[in-house]
Amino acid sequence: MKRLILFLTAIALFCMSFAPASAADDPTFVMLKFSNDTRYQNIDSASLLSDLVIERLLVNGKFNIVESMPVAEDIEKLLYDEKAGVISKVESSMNAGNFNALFEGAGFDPKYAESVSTAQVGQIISPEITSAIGKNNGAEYLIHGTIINMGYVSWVNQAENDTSMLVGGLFALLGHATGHSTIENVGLAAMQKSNVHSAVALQCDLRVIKASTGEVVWNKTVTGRSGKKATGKNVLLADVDHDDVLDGRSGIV
Amino acid sequence: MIKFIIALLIGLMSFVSTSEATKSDVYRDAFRNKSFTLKYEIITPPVHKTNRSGVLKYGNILNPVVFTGNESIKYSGIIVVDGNNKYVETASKKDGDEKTAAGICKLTKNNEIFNFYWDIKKGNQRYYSNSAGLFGGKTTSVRAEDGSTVDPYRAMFQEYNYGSPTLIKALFVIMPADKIVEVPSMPKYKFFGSTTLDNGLTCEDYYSNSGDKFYVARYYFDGDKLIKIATASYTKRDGVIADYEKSVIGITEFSFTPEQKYLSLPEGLKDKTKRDKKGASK
Repeated sequence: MKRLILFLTAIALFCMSFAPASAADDPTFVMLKFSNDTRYQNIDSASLLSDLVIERLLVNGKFNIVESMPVAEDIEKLLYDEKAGVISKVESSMNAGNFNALFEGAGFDPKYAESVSTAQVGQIISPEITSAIGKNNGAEYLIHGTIINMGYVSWVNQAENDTSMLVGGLFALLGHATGHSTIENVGLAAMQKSNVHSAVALQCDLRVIKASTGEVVWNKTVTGRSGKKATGKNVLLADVDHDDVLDGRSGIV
Repeated sequence: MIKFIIALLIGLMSFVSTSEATKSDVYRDAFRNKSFTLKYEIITPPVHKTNRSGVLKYGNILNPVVFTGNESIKYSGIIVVDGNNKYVETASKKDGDEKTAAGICKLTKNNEIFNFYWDIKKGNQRYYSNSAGLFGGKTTSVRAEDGSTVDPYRAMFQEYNYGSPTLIKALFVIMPADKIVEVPSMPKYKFFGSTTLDNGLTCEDYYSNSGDKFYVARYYFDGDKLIKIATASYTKRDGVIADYEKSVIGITEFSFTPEQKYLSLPEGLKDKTKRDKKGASK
C-alpha cells in the first residue's frame, strides 16, 4: 500500500505541470471524483488519487480550485443514465414512425464522446451534465481522471538484453570452439540472464473539461512505477503515448 | 366462406408487409447471389472497455497488451465474395498513424483457406503469415488449410465469417432471411419504415425484438447508393436497460462485382501448400 501511495503522489505531482491556455485569466476549477477502470476499483484508490491530486493542486496554488474536496457528482454514472435515456428514445421513435430521435440525436453525433473515460480533446461530454456541475460548484473547468491500469508491470531493458546476448553468445562460441566447457557455460548463462524487470505501476488518464460546453480541452495519459531510476533506454512492454513520467521529465522515476 | 376471405386478406396483408420494395433489396440480392465487393470503415469507436474484470493487461510479457482509455483506433475492412470464393480482411490503425496499420486476412478459394496478415514496414504494405515452430515468426509464404469440410452454405453466413462482429450485426438487415444460419445472439430484422432527412439522404429503419434484446438499424442511402449504416442495441434485465451499444459504419464501396485481385494471394506471398496428385491440400 505504501508503494501505491507513492505512485499516486507521483501522478499528483505530474498534474502540476499542466496549465490550460487560459490560466492567465485565473479560471476556476473543480475536481471530480476519479473513476477506476481496473479490477481494484473496490479498494478506493480512485478517491485516494483524486484527494491527492487536489491536495497538490491546492498546495501548488497555481490553479484557482474552488472546492478543497472532490465534488460528489459521479459523472460516469450521470452520463450512463443519460445514454440509457438516449437508447430509451427507441420507444418514442417507434410511436413516431421513424428512428430520427435516436439516430439523428446527440447519441450518434461524432462530436460527442462515447464516454468520459474515452473522451478526446475537442470532443464533447454532455453539456447539460457538465454545466450543471460547474454551476453547482461555481467552477469553469472540471478536472477528471480515470485509472486505467494498476498492478505489477514487467519490461525489458533492451540495451542490457542486447549486450548480454552478444557477450554471452561470443563466450559460448569461444568455449565451444576451444573445447572449454566452463567458458561455454558462462556464455550460455550470460545469454540466459534475465533482463526482465518488474515493479508496481499505475496508469491514469487525466482530462480537463470546460463546464459550460462540455468540451474536453486537455487530456493526457500518465504512468508511474516504482523502482530505481532506469538507465539506458527502457522498453516498456506497452506503448504509452504520452509517457512523460517514464522519460524522466517529471523526475519521479 | 367469410373465414376463408379473412384468412385470404390476412395472408395478403402479411405478404404485402414482407415484400415491400426497399432500396436495400439490391444489396440483399448481392448476398443471395454471392457476388459483391464491400469496403467499410467503423466510424464510431468501440464502446468504453475497462480492466475491471480480468487480469492486468498492461505490460504483461506473455499476453498481448490491451489498452483502454483514450487511445483512438480506427477499424476498417474489405469483403469480396464470388460464389464460394471469399476474401475477408479486417484492418486497424491508431488514428492518424499509418505506421501502425495492420490487417488480418482470410482467403477462401477452391476449398482451401489461407490465413495471412499485413503490416507496414518502411512505408510499404508487407504480407506475411506466421511460421510454424517453437519460436514462430513472420514468413512471406503461406500454407492453405483444407476448407473442403466447411459447409459453404454455413460458412457464408456464420457470425464470425465477415471479420468484424460490429459489421455482421449491421449486415443482418440485408442478409437473405431464409438463408441466415440461426445464431441466437443475432438480430432478425424487420422493416420498420423509411424517411428522408433534411440533407436529402434517404433512410430505411429496421428493428429486431427478441425478448430482452432489442436491435435497431438505420440504412442511409444517397440516391440508391448505400453510404452508411447505424445500429443500436440494448438489453433489458428486470425491465431496466442493463447494457447497450451502438455503431456507425461508413460504406466506402459496395459494388456487385467481386474485385478479383483480392481472390488471389497478394504479390509477395508464396503459396507453399502441399497438395496430393489430385490437387487437394494435405
